[in-house]
Amino acid sequence: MIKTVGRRQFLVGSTCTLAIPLLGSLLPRTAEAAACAQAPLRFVTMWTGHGGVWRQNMYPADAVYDQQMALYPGHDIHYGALQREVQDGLARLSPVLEASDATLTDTLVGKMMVLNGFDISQYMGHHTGGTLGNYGQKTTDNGNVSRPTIDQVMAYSSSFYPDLSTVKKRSMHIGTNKHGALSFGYANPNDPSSGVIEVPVANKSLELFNEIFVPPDDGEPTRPLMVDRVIESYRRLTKGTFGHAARLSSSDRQRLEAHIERLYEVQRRLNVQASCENVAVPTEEADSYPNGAYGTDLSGMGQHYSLYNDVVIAAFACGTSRIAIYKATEKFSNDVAPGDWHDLVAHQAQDNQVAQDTLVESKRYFFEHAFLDLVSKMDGVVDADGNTMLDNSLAMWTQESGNLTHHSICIPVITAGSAGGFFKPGHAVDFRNRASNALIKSTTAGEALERKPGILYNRWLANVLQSMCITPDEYETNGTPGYGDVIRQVNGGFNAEACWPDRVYADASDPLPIIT
Amino acid sequence: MKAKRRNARRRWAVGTVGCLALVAGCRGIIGGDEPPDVSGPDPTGLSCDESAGPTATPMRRLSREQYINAIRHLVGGEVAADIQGALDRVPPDSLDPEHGRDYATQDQAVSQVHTDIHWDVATAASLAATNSPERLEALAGTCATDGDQGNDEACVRDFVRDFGRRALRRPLSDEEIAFFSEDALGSATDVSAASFADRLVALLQAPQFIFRIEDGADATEDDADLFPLTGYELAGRLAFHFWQAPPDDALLEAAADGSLETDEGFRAQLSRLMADPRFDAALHNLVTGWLRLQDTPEYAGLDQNAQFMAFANGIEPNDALGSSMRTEVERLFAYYARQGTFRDLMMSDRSFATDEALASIYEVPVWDGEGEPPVFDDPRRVGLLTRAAFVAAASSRSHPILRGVKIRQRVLCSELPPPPANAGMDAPTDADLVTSREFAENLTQSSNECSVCHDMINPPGFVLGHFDALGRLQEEESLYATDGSLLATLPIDTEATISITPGEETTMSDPASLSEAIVQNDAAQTCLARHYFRFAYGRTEDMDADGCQLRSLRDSLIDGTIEDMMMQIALRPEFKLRRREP
Repeated sequence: MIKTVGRRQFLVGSTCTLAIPLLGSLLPRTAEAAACAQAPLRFVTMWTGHGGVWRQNMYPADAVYDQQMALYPGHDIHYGALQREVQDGLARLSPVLEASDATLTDTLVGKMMVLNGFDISQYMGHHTGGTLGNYGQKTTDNGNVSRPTIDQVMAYSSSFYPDLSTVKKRSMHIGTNKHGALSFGYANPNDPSSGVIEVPVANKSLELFNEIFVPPDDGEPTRPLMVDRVIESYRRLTKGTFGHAARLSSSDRQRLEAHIERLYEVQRRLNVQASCENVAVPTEEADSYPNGAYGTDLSGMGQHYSLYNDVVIAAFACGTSRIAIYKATEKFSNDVAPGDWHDLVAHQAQDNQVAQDTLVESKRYFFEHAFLDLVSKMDGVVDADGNTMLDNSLAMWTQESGNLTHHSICIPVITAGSAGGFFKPGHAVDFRNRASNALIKSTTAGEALERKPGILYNRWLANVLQSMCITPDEYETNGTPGYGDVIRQVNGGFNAEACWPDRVYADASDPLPIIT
Repeated sequence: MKAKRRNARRRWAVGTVGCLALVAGCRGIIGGDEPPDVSGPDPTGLSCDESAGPTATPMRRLSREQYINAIRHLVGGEVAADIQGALDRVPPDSLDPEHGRDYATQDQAVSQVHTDIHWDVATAASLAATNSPERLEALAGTCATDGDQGNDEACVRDFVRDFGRRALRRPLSDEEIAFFSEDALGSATDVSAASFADRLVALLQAPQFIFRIEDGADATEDDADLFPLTGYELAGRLAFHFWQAPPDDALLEAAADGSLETDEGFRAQLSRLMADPRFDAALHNLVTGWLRLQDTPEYAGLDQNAQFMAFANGIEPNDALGSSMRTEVERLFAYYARQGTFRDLMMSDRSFATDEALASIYEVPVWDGEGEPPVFDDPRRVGLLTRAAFVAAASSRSHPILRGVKIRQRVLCSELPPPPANAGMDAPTDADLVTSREFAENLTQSSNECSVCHDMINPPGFVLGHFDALGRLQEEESLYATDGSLLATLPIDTEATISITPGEETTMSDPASLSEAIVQNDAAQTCLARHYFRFAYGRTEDMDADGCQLRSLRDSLIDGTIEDMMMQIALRPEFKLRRREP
């Protein structure tokens, strides 16, 4: 079955060319913006390293994709309704997307999306920041510009946070920054020239809880904060009262100004009053269990993420934070020597069945015990508007690479939640151009490594931003559609232009078909 | 050792490998259809213009270690212990070795998380330091608790003046004393605990505490962007570099009386700093960043692996084993840094293993950490390259490619690009009844695209073939199946032809020859000098603009001891100057 063409093509084909600049007004974004203003939206990303899961292991069976539509001439996309298979107490969407049938319920499946065919159109190698849009953070230098990741765009956007009165922590960061951070932001969020820096991660779950938890007011009078005095000491230094400002460089003074901005943020959070009365104070520390870094204790890792998930949900429920970013490692197997994961599994899995099986099990475990644990708990909390917390959120799990490690082609995106109705979940969508052979080469190993170019990951990121009330004029750079750099380059002698024609760049801020 | 010289030895060679290399196993196509440009090593001279002065040095923040040491220094060990939880939250400095960021001092980012936690630490410290009359007295003197209102104003001013001098690492002006004397309620005479806690928060959050601000002197007459450091600023540079801690009272006193600005006084303080146990912090940081000791294998969990356990044959894989390997190299480096040359380090026959497990790997007695370190019996166990931390892998088979990469990248500072897109990191299976060397050769010699780089990478790793994946000496290589059964025992071939000096190939088969060749090549000393520069100045070196300093460090390492090199950086004129960024 072939459905209608995409929105932009329809407009062009209907002699509405002149209306293109008004596309924004033609979209139902006004309604979405209104919803944005009302719904307590949350955004969660979970990340695991490497990738390298074969397509048939990561995604539902081909038969699930029983519908198709022409995205562009010569580029059909395929999709279908997500439906679990249940057997022996296990529910399955794919070999990786498998869990207890009590957890992976029909209800939850109906709130999920399984998306294939998002590409970063350049060779990334190992990277971390690329997952959330900072393509400049990777092992190879293609000339990308380092930029904030989308979580930090949200964190410092008044569109996402129109009211900060309850927000103690604009974003929570969990996991490890070993081998690179997942999140990046401006040193001074008000000054893009201040430089892009890593966002550190929390050390302990109980410490994170203390940062987001507002204890009940004990009625004791509070002493005024010293923040004003500290800010004043910075001002006096930059003005020369406490030194010789002229002897400092302009960049040094800029760093001091950035610090003043951060102190204002300290002042803001210290004055936050929020209602956390109904939140149970956790007593168990997540980091008392293996955190995934070279760990091999599967059940312990489940506990680890479950405890962090509890803190995240507490923050969401209190309204003291609305963003959570998890950077996990991929090592979740009992069977492989920890130090050898990189060699024996991650880099062998592309054409080694044993390694692939181990990889699949590790990803499956993460799916069930980290991702599903979080989103099922979120679905058990009802917001003031009657929707569940999950309904008002977008939680996504993605990986460093696509089905071939080092390659950022076909990056898997698994989501739950509709972001307050922006997304229409319950679908598996394959955005790849299955008719293209532009990425097939003789040295790859058959169907398992079959790669087809799709559409830009930049477009997915743009859709995520829009779902969180960030409009293109807020996130686009110089009017370039999408989020992230748009370098078009593939290692290995492929024809990059054939992989990603100009049209996929031009549409990179457009709402995605089928799911929006 | 057979040497074949093709070109005259280049004294200033820095060992750049001009190839697109696959660091691990190579099966991929690198960089497209065109074969990689393999013009061979590209010796680059270090240019030097002594009249140019230092390159621009931006204002630096304290590293995590420096910040925590500064807090401890100010509030004392007892209070610091009480706020350990807050101190633990200070974000670790971010490393990025693939882009030359090997040292904590190179991470100059300050995020909101840093500022949040600095605030929390300051608050926790101020409360803990004033939570009893005894602690308040220890902080501000008996005047804070004697009930005599007549001395309260002086009590506050004296506290701000004295504590502020230690916190801001220079005397405070009268205006600053007045400013920091005021508490949150605007009182400069309140001697209550809460009031002193306010003052502590302000001082521990002050820009001059968090950052190292060097603005105390006018620019030089002939260069408006070049500033000499004041004595106090010099004290800060010395202490934070050599101790990773703030200046102590003796340094501040030397700054106050001007002796630190004399050659004699400066050298005296320098010698004192380097003789102090706190100098170990610098040594530890340098060797860890240089060799990336944090990447030493982690063994926890390997006890579940039958193949590894059969191979380990009694060596228990646990966290302590990897830690012990790392610590041994730290001790080795510290030992020769204090009393030896670079050659001593590279040719050492001493064991610094202080635990049974590592000592049994080395087949030597446990070292007590104080007397003469035990001597290895086997002449193949020589120098840094044969240490367990250098050769070990968390597997039953050794990894000659990674050993070669380590020598090229870390010891010689060769530039190796990351693995190509479709690189495989194959590891041998039970069916691969070949030595680790043969497996690596099969993996990387299959095409010119791979071999051009691996001809550079692999041979040094092959020469270390007599060390197994735990760092034990082996006469033959035993192969174990995944179920732990013995598959085969194979002879080891360690002969390899290596080019350390560009254009000069040497065939060798033992670690001593390899180490000697490295010592004889200036690239290794230049490499360590480059690393030391990064650590000292918190930025990646500029081979041109920083050439004079790099030459000076390298030459002091060639002609003298490691300690000479470390001292040399402070003796250079650049250490006493700051160039303002444009």
